[in-house]
Amino acid sequence: MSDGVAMPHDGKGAARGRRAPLSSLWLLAPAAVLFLFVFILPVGEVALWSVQGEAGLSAENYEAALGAGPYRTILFGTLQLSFGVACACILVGYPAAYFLASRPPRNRTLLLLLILTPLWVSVLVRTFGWIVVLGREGLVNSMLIGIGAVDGPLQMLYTRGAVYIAMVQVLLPVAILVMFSTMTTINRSLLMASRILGASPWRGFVHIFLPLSAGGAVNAWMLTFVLALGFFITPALVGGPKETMIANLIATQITLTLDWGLGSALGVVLLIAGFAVVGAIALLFRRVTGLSGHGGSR
Amino acid sequence: MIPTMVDVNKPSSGTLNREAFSKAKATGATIEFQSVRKAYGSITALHDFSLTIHPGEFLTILGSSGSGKTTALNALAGFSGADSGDILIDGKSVIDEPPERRNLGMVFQNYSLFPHMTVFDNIAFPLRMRRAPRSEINERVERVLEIVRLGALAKRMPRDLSGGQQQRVAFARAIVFEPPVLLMDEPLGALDLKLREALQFEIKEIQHQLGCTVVYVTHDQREALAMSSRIVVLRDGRIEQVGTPSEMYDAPKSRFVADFIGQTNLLAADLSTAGSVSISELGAVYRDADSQARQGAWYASVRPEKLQRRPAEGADIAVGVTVQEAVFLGDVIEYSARTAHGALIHFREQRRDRDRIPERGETISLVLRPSDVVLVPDLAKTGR
Repeated sequence: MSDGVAMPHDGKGAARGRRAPLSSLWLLAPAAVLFLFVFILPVGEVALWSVQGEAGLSAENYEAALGAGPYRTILFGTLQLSFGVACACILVGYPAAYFLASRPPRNRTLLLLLILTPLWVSVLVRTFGWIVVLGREGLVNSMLIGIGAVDGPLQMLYTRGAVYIAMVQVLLPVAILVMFSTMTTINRSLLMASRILGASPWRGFVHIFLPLSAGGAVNAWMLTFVLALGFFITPALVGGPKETMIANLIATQITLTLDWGLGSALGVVLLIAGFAVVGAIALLFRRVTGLSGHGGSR
Repeated sequence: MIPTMVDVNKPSSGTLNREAFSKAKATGATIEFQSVRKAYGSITALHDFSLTIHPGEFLTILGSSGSGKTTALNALAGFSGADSGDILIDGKSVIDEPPERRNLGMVFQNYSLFPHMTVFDNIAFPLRMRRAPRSEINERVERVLEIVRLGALAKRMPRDLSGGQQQRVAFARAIVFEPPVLLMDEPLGALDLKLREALQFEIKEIQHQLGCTVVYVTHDQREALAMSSRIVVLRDGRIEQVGTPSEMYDAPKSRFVADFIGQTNLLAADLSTAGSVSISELGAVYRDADSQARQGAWYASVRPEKLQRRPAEGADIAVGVTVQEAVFLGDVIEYSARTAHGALIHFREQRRDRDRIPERGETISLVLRPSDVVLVPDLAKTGR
């Protein structure tokens, strides 16, 4: 995803930016070929479509996509929603990842399995699950009415809140996994050292564990943000018209209105906006911490 | 306790800057372990561990892995509690205090430097945790960097330092707040021999200057002999013997200690007759007025340098041996040889100019003073 901006590494060779010897570059060949055919060429073609007007090259699609109007509103709405979902994933996932990483290794396997189980279930099924839970006659409403907390059913489905809950639920395991893998590289004896040198458990966490795990949290944020940008089914099923995502819009252009030019332009704008936000976050992190992120020494 | 400023440009030899020590010495604390017991599941790591460590002492806890030495250190540091017993620092019980309230300096085996902090920030950490004013932090860190001669590296990150430099940073971080007690858990284990020997000297020197009490944990008996004022040998969670390095070497109280500390020849001894010692593998029987009739597994411990080729006053025990191997080590020659009774023994002699080195297969005669034979029981067999 990002250019390895905050990936954990072993702190030795990689930290010094050592170059791989040329003779081993061929190991990258299969991935490079695949990447060329399934990503670079299609995106290039999409980019070409996006600048084609009735008569040759034209910026009209971009004018439509970015000019004042529903498209721009939906684009900003998508960025805003993804931003919020990514932040929520980090806030909810960080304590869980911390808990997992503090378990002895042999106890982790089962817990990790529990966290990963939802990933085996299709996003579609999980989203339908939320319809069942949040619907007018769904679990939550029946319970609330049952205990007399509310008189009539609350409108929960087809709201922004429902989209948030469903998207966070889908993306949370990914966020936890990324942060967990960084946290396991943090040497626990560093925390012992902080204690004996005078830090309370809380200050040891703030001064040692938090900065060392921040790189993983930033990575998890960027990954969930990018994944959220492309969300399609979930907002369409549990959100209202206001929660239309740019991905839904692109699908409409391509499959219904057959305006491939506008659809392509929206796709390119989404790609660039995603890169811009992720790049800005990565730069900000580097500026704040003074380093490119790392995961503690062994 | 007010640090003095340091003249950074003062030339000095070696890696230590003696002028950089403050004149005000921290006073070491007294540490008392009172019947400390700690078990992990069904395994008792430490049995009734009682020990008093005096102020300013350099005490080494020596043992192999699983002997309980790290358990004892962790109990003192506060990382793991004790199942029973108490630990007192300067007469005050600390057993219920968390590590951060015990005011101990500690150097870890893997140094445990904070990888996201510069050398300066690593060393400043304990001072910041104690909310020292900024000016005092700067002053103290600079001074301690001078002591360990790393002033030029203050802005480096730990990963850019060599192992020896990292070790020094860890050491500086542990002493910067002048703790009355310094704990060291195999601090030299990861370094090569030369560096280890140089740092042994430095650590001793700094401890001497600071006056703090040091509790040092190692499995390396040579390190223990070289650095300690007293050594505690632990075995299976119990104290085998406590004493100065020379006591441990000259008067081991058990077969285990005799074997563990220094090199020695251990030969079965028969003490069943009062006043007489019989070492059948040497073919030697001698009178020992003090010895009482004792049963059980006893051994004669004979250090390799006590067996001599030249006759000497009082060297009444004569042993005929066949040379198996002679190893030339420059100033000393080490031999392995077989006695007429089939035992393989080792001896060592200072090399003199015109000495002819006996060849393999040659039969020679060795002499030994009865007073150089140390009789030790095998506690594992005879019981404690």
